[in-house]
Amino acid sequence: MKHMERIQRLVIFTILLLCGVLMVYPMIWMLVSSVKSTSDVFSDSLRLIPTAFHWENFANALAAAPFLTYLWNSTWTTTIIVVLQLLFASMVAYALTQFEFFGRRGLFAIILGTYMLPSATTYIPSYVILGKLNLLNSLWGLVISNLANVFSILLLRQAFLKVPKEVIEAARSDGASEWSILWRIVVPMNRNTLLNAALISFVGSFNDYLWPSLILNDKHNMVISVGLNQFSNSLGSFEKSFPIVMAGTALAVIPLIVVYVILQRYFVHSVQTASVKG
Amino acid sequence: MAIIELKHVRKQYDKGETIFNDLNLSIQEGDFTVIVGPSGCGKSTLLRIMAGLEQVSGGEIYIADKLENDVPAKKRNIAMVFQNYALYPHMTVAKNIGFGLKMRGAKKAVIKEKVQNAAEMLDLTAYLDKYPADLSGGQMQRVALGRAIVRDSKIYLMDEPLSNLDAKLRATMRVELTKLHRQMQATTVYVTHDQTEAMTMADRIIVLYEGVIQQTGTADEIYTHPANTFVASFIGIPPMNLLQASRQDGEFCLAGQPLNISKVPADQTDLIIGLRPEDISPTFDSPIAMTVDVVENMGADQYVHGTLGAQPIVFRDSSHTHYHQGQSVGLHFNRHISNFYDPQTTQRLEEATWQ
Amino acid sequence: MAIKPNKWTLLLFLAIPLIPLAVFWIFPLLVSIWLSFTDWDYISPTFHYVGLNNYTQLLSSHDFQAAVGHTLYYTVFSVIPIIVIGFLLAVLLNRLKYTYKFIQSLLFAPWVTPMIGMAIVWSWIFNSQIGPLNQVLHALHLPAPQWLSNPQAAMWTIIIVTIWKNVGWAALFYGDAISKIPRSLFEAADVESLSIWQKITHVLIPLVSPTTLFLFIVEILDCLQAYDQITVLTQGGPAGATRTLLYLYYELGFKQFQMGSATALSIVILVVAAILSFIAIRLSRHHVYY
Ligand SMILES: Nc1ncnc2c1ncn2[C@@H]1O[C@H](COP(=O)(O)OP(=O)(O)OP(=O)(O)O)[C@@H](O)[C@H]1O
Ligand SMILES: [Mg+2]
Repeated sequence: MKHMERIQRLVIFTILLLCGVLMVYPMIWMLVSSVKSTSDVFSDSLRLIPTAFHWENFANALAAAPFLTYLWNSTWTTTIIVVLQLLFASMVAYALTQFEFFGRRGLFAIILGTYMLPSATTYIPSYVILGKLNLLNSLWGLVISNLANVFSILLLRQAFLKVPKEVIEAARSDGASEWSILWRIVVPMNRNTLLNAALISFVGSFNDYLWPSLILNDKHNMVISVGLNQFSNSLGSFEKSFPIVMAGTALAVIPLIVVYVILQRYFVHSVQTASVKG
Repeated sequence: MAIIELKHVRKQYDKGETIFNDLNLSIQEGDFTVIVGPSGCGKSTLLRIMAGLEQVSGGEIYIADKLENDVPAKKRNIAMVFQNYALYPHMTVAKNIGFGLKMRGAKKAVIKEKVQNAAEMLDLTAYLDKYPADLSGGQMQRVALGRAIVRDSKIYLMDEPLSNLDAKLRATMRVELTKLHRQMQATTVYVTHDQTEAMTMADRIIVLYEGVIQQTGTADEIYTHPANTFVASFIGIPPMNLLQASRQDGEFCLAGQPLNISKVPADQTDLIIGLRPEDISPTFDSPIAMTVDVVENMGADQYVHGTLGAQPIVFRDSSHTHYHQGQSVGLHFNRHISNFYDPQTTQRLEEATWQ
Repeated sequence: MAIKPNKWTLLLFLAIPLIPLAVFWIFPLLVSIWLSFTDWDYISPTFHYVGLNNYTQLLSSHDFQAAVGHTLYYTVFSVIPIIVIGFLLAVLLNRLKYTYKFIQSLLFAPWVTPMIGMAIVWSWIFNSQIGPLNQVLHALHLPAPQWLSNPQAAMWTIIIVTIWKNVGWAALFYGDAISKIPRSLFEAADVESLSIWQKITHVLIPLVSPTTLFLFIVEILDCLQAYDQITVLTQGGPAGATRTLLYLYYELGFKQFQMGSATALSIVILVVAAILSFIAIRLSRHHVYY
């Protein structure tokens, strides 16, 4: 009986390991191909260990497009976006859970509805608004048009609802203002939820493509997703440029893989707890 | 001098029924006042109104003779201890205790000193760097008290602070709290549904039931002369006997025997006699006799339950007499304490006495 | 519980944080509805109200009808495999002990990567010259289509990439849901000597149904808004074979500047999303056990 169970578990492990390898195969293939020579690619593109490491592919990719600028642009805009999104989401979630005001239910319904709203519906008018503000083709335009994160509001509201009301009342009778209660009591008590929201929002913003691609079109102003696609298009699908394209793509993907490997357990946890629905 | 006064207070929750209709009370400075009543009678609501955590729908709240209806909790300088401690889970014990001072802008050194003093008073010095999650129920309770104490406020409100503790710890904490109050001399309003806490700790007791104050007085007054049948049956374990008697030929009779009660208003055809179990004793030569049902042995003494006619009755006996079921026992009433109630209004008939 | 704050506090907590939501979500939505009744072309300063014209033209256009078909095809064949495979992976995963975390992190990894970058990688995987996929198919003597230039196969490249990106994510949710089912329920099933299959259909599936509902709604919304993989792999082609509603919206709005038609289309997408979510929630009344 014990024996059977072991064999069963081994079989399951093997199946899942195969699936897992299949999942990360594109990433591995990308990394391997990025250091191959063109002739290597043509002779055997399946080979996982290149005959020689051609690091100059990366140099060539960096020469063809300002990837470091792209990465820096993505990093700072995403950081500001995430910080401000969480700041605002915390305040709204606090108001929704701790204040009684006219229209609270209505506001919550609107926020919940916005969560289901396909963002495409807003692109054309938002584009026009950014144009009027003179913020087209500007990274600040990208930042300010991304400051609302309905998902984070819902996630934080859910968490704030679980804060015992006596704790808040104790703070009130301890003389704390609502502002201090939010930042000194409620937010520290829910720091895990905030971290979850931050991770999810970070990955979403960093990888976002369609909206940035609509409003950004100068090379020095591009974020990584937009710059990468432009780079890939400019080299076309000629087989001989394949290793360089992979090197460029690797530059865009590696930061996320590194973050993922470091924060892996937080990621899994974040996304799981994010299953809360309105 | 009254430090807290509520006048004609009305409280209605948004959709719910009215909790208080026309509530009046005053709390004397320096007193340890206990508000006692069954669950759901509005004790917490009353306390929260005093603390400023709940708005009233009508009436006035005076604190130290100032009208404070619209003063929010954080400006009232009232310290409150919550039913379930409400400690800040992400702060150490020291931070928890000092938070109120910090929010009121006290200097770091002052906070440190006061926290240290409170910790010593409450025997918490060893736990100052621990988090609430690592404390026992009794320790958490003491932290919650500490948080209130350091505030040096004139008024302390406590909402069933001992209800989550086990019986033994509760007994210890009762003594501790009484000592603390004597030491600090601060006005304390203490809410509980436990009458033992009320009887042992209070300078004054306020009995609350269904949003109405039933009686206010010292533990002694309330115990010996309950103002109505509710208080009579709520205070005391086992509760006061309430025996129905009706007029026959102008005399109130129980089990057919005349009782010699005087100064009863003439229009009163029935009344209820209130007798504590310790005010009834067994005797050989009484025409009033009960039938024994069960006997509760409490160690030092015993409670003998039974029926008198169709009415339940209980008396305390400190002798070691053995009673058995079905036995008939003659009863003698202590006629030094007179408690008679009007069955219609349930109020005590102040004039009526035993002859 | 809640207090009535004074108006300055309320203003501080709500007014400022809600400006971005109002300016870039709520207001644009209203403007979109309004624009969909005009013939604005973005460049000219004037426009005319055209009533329902944009809608009638859109609904009767061949491109739109084709795009509806493609969107439906794409959504059905992406969402169902994601949910089914995600569930099966989670069931298997749940049997592992020490290797659980490791396998889970492999399965979930695609979710973190940027769709643009990985779609570029996939476009090379599908390459008929040097792509590993066709080399494997050749070696196995299976038909190896011209993935990206064959209209039939092109849609499947999009579907495959979508499934690859999302299936580990679905497995994660199912894994969490399954691990929260009390052991005693499985023990009860053992006592009643149910087979493994019966355990899955009678115990597991009903108990994870809230997760299924959640994934259904989120994945449908996700598929309706899929863009990155399409623009990298096929750009809506070949011959419009992978032009979904959202891609058509992009072309109408940002290539042809027919703002009226584009906004009308975006409203149609919105309505479709709302109806599908509504149906999912409705169906769940009967089939979801909380
Ligand atoms: N926020 C509220 N909204 C509506 N009704 C409420 C609210 N809070 C309390 N009540 C009602 O008010 C009444 C009194 O509640 P309160 O909490 O004051 O009782 P209590 O005497 O403290 O009871 P306990 O001993 O159980 O703590 C109850 O009937 C309760 O249902
Ligand atoms: Mg209470």
